[in-house]
Amino acid sequence: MTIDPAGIYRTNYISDVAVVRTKTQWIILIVAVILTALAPFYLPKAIVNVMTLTCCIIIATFGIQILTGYCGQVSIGQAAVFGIGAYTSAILVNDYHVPFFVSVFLSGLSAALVGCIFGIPSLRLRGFYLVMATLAGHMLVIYFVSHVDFTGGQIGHKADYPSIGSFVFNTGDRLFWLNFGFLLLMTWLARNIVRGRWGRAFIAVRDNDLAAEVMGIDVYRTKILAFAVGCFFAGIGGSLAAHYTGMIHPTQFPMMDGFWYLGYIIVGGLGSIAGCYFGAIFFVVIKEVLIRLPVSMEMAKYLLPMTDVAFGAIIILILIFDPKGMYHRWELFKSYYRIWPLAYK
Amino acid sequence: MTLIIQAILDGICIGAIYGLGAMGLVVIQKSSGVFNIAQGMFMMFGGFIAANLTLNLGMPMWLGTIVSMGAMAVIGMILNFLIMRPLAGEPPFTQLMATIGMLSIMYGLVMVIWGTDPYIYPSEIIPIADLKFLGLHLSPSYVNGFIIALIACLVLSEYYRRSKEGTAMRATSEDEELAASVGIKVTKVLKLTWSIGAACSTLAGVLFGMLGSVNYMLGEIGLMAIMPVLVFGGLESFLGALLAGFIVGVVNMIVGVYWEGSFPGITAVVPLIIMLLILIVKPYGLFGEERIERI
Repeated sequence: MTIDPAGIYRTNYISDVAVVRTKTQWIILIVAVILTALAPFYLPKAIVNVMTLTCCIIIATFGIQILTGYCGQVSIGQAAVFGIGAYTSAILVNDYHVPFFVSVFLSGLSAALVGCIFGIPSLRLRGFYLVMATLAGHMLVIYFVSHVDFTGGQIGHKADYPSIGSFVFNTGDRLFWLNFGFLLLMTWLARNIVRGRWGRAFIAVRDNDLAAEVMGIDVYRTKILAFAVGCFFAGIGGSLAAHYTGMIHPTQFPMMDGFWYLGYIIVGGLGSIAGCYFGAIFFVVIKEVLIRLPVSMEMAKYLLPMTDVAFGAIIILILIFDPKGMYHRWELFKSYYRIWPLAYK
Repeated sequence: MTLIIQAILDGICIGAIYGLGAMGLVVIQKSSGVFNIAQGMFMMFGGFIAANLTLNLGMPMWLGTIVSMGAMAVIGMILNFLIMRPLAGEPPFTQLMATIGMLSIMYGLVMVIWGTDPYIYPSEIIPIADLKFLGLHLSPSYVNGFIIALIACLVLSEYYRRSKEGTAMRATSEDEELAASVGIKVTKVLKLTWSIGAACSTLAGVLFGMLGSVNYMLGEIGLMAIMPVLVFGGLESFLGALLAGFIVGVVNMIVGVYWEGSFPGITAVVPLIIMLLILIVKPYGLFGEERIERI
């Protein structure tokens, strides 16, 4: 875990297991949260809109981080589960008039249920076979939602703005605050899942599942649990994204997105919740900058495919030159500035 | 009845192409242990090169195909040298992510270079004429695909069994260190496998493109088509892949005849459902070898 500065001693258990450990860290954290929350007042609307969607992406990335980074089960179906969350929430809110704050968690649960089904093959499969199974699962889910009636099929489904009582989150700023609030909540949840009993079981299964079984961990239950937890996060993210975009359609959840989620955690760093922020924000920034490059009309159609090229190239470069990811760089940087002017050798 | 026989014949023809596509993956998987998820994109990339050579530059079909196979073989070799070689010995997840990176790069490049418009081969360009007998009708692209894919599969499996390089590849797939210790150059073998794999899937991509059109969705469709073949056939044997290709092709066509009308698009999905069921019941495929793990 983190190293405390000299002179700070832990006198009780609560302070020893704390995530935010010193007063300075608390101050930095609170200032950062307040500055981000005030973003609509000093940033242009386009950037705030991108940030709103990024919150959903980061929440879904927590899911794949827990599933792949902590439990070692490679899943390409994250985009499909994201879609399940989006559809569940849109249908519940628009067709059955369920309150938004209930439907968010219901869509998380329905995604978790689908995740359990995705996870069943993982009981006996490993490596590429699991990759193939989740990829097939993705195609089945997308086929299903685009061919049944209650999802709207190829036409898509409307999703109203979220509301609580008579208060409607109908402006860009309000949606940003809603999603940012959920992001904070989910960060807290994810951080606590991975350092608790479940998270330790996930890590044990990832490192060596036979050894984990010898230690008394029910490997099958843990794998299914990892799928359920990972997909729960994706469902929440999908639900928020659906109500943000207002209209959902099967083509919003392409196969490439499943690969992108894996890319986020590779670039951010496997096995760290903070790494999700680094990876997702890094790729969103690259994508948005690439799409908005000021070029002529003929060139403009090449920009969107170029994001895929850039994504692939970055993943390969990171894998070859910096396989521990950006979070590791950040830790190195922190340990450097902690002793900065008076470094000793 | 005629409908079913027609479907089975069509299925066998398509199945040979699926089998060829899957073989490209099996070649690479066997020697280097890398599950190359970008194989579908290799199919598409090679298909686009061949389509451009024949349709835009006016090469004859056979020459265009051979040139594109050669080009893709070189690309496969370069990819191996630039990407897979530095990652040799890394955990499988890292290598899988590297192939995902390749997939993404090729997917983007295809759209950048050739755009999203489909290329359609006119029927005169395809060398073999229609076959008509007993009320059955096999269109030229199907017959063509079947014959070429079958020949390629047989040549490849004989090459693996008899030639010196083939023996070296099989030795490498058994155990890299042992192979190196008897004087086999493992890096050279891997270079050869990647170029053979890429060329193989290019041929499959060209044949696949003749069935409908060469478009930017071909990579995804190709990957979805060869995945069930791999699971049916296991990741180890060539003839298994070919047989599995026939099974998947026939299932595809029969489902298409009966259900495509009421559930559009179900042809692509049914093999995946069967594949998932097989994976749950028999995790290493129908003909695959079960691995015993140690702590």
